[in-house]
Amino acid sequence: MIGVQLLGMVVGLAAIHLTYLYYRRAQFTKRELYFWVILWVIFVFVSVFPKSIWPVVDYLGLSRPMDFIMIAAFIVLFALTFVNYVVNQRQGRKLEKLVREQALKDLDKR
Amino acid sequence: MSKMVVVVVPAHNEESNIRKVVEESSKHADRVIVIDDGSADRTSEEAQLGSRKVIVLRHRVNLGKGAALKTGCQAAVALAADIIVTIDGDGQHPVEHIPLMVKEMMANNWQVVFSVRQGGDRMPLVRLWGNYFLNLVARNFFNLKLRDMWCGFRAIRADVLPVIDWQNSDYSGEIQMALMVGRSGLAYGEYIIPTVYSDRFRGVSIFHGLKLLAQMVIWRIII
Repeated sequence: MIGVQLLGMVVGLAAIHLTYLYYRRAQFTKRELYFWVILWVIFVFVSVFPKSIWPVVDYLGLSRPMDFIMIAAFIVLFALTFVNYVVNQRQGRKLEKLVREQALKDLDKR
Repeated sequence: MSKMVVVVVPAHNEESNIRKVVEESSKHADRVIVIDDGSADRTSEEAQLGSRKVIVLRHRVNLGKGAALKTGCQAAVALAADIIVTIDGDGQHPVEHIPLMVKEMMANNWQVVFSVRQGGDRMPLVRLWGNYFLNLVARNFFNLKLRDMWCGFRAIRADVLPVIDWQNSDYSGEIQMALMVGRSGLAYGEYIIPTVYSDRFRGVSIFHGLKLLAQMVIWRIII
């Protein structure tokens, strides 16, 4: 096992531990726990057995597993950026509405 | 028939200036609404003059100038204002010009009046150029022919507020409001005031200007 595989495994296992910890602290629901654990188990599996994704790499017409991982990582990053932006905007609007309503309540008291 | 004039003052950490601003502006308006935008100092307390003319509303957290202006304008509409005059809380605007500004607005049948800073203190060179460039972009992209788009001293007829509804909560909300005036074809004019700079290091920076420029391009596409 080469260093990068070992690192991938350690990161994945640490993430599973943290996911479980968040679940026990009631910060994650059971659904979130399953989702993230499955995701991290796949991550650990691919780190330890990189050749396991060859069928997917062949199917997509790529030359190396690393190309697949890079492409998948970029897709996930872009998707996360978009989701974060949308959630952030939504929260900002909600906060603004709430703060404004509170402020205008003081006007009603006069 | 005389119009009800309400002054809206967005303020953030202005404890040293706000009292004077409120005292002076209340001499020239029917009501003054101060929006303390989540200040960490005594802005709210300083703005309270004990006068029925003055209303202090407080944002529990700092939302930005655009959001504070929106809250102030909504409050002014709730008070049945006919004309809303917006001024900054740092004392940069000569509030004694409010009656003249309103008079000119009525005489020319303008729906919005923007002030133009000329004479008085010298505007820092970077801001002068930045202002010039942004005005140029606004002119070409939004058909808004203004000489000083950054100046927050404005008079707005309350009935046109729904037309110029701005969404940005930060300083750019004020610019968005101006651009909406250009896009919606409202009647607007300019009113000259003297330039006053109390603190050269406050307000918008060159980075704000660049960010705003990018936003203006996006607004041009989506608005």
